[in-house]
Amino acid sequence: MGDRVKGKIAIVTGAAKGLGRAISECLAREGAVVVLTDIDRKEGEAAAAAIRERGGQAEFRELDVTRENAWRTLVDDVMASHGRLDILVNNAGIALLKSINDLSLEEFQHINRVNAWGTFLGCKYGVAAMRKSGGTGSIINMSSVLGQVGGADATAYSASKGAVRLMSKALALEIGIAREFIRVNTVHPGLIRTPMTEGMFGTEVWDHEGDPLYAPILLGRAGSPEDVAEAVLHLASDEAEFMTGAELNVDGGWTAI
Amino acid sequence: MSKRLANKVTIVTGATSGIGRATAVRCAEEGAIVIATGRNEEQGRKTESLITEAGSKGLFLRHDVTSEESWNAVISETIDRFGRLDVLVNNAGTFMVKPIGETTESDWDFMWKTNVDGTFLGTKLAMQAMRRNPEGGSIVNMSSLMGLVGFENATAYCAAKGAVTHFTRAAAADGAASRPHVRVNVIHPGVIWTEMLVHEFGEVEDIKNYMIEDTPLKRLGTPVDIANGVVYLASDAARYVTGASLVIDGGRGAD
Repeated sequence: MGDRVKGKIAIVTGAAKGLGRAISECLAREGAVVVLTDIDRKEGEAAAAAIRERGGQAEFRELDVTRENAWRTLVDDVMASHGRLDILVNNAGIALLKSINDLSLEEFQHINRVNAWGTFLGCKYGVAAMRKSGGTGSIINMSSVLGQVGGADATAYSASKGAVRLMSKALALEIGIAREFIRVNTVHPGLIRTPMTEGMFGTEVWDHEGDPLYAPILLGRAGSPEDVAEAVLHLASDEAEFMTGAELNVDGGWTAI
Repeated sequence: MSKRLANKVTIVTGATSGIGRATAVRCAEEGAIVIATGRNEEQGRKTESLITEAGSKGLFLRHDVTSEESWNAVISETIDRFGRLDVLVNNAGTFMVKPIGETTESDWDFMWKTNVDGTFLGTKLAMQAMRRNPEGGSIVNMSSLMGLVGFENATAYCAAKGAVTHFTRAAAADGAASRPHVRVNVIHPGVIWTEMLVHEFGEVEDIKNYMIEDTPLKRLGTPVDIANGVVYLASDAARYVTGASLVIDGGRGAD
């Protein structure tokens, strides 16, 4: 076990699978006490149990990030049982690729409700808890390369991830004016193979080097959830103590060109 | 836990003080074999002993980053002694504040030679050496917050650091086209109170206090803040990170 976030209390949303699960595993590997949250109780419990089996400290709590009451309860519970909150990873997110002609307002709202509003609520209650923990902490919000550059058929997703990106900078500045040391940064994954992207692109494309899916990516391949988790770990740890309002791309060079 | 840069052969330029020295030491703490380079022999020897104290091995080499011949000598000696090159940190840099009307052509050259020519030569020659390394390599360039946004009285420095920023993105494309891959990323420090700044501003409390107040995290950065970012980008944990800009500025550039 490492010690880069030893003893820190962390909440990770969307932690049952994909990026959230890898992030939870990575933080636990480096000594954090991880509260995994998700709407999927069964998979979430299993993810937490798998971490405990490897000697990590983890527990699961059900959370629908779009419900304010659920956030209030979660944060109250975590403060009651652990006494503080040091790390919050607003990772829960959904994606939809659809032409604007076919995209309904309901679909647009649904994507934004989970990705942007969910992150807003997490920040709101996370910051409040961190203020009660001595005014320090690290919030990592999961944006995307599509929060920085456009992508065809991604109007709803890009809107939500662009919102996450700039909401994070605004919050970083606001906290600075309050002379507090809660850091807020964003991570921008490119194409990462997860259950979410397998749902979008199928399970076949991943082994085909040269697939058109990889055309925008300099390294010519998809990344792994562990690659994103390592970036989150860096931002969560005290090694990134001078980073706030910043963006960390884990995109194989997608946005460099 | 294994160390994050275990046995990675790492060249750090401008390692005789400030960010470069802290980077050399942090890399050594993480298990890297560190070749610390620079012009000041006495300070370089001190960095060399700090590398040993950090529990790793390495050495100081005299190096003028503006000279291709000097680069060839440093890289050859690195490969002769340690067999390969895994990581290059193009840290050596010069700084200047001056209104545009007073900026001379030689000032401009001075900003450009170390910051831009040095980074170009290092990236080019390291990439050639890393192509012979089955595991490829990682290059970390040092730009600045001023390589992303403009500042008054800093046309030459901003232009040079802007060149480093954008050079990195293009070099990342070349590094991705080579087999094995070479990753190229860039760090943008905010105000890190090092000898480079003291040399230009003096130890002036008013300036320091202004910089602190202008930084959301309400402090100046330290060389270790930047060195920690280098360790991440140099390590295999960042194997899917290339062409990226890591801003470490206490939030100063967020507005």
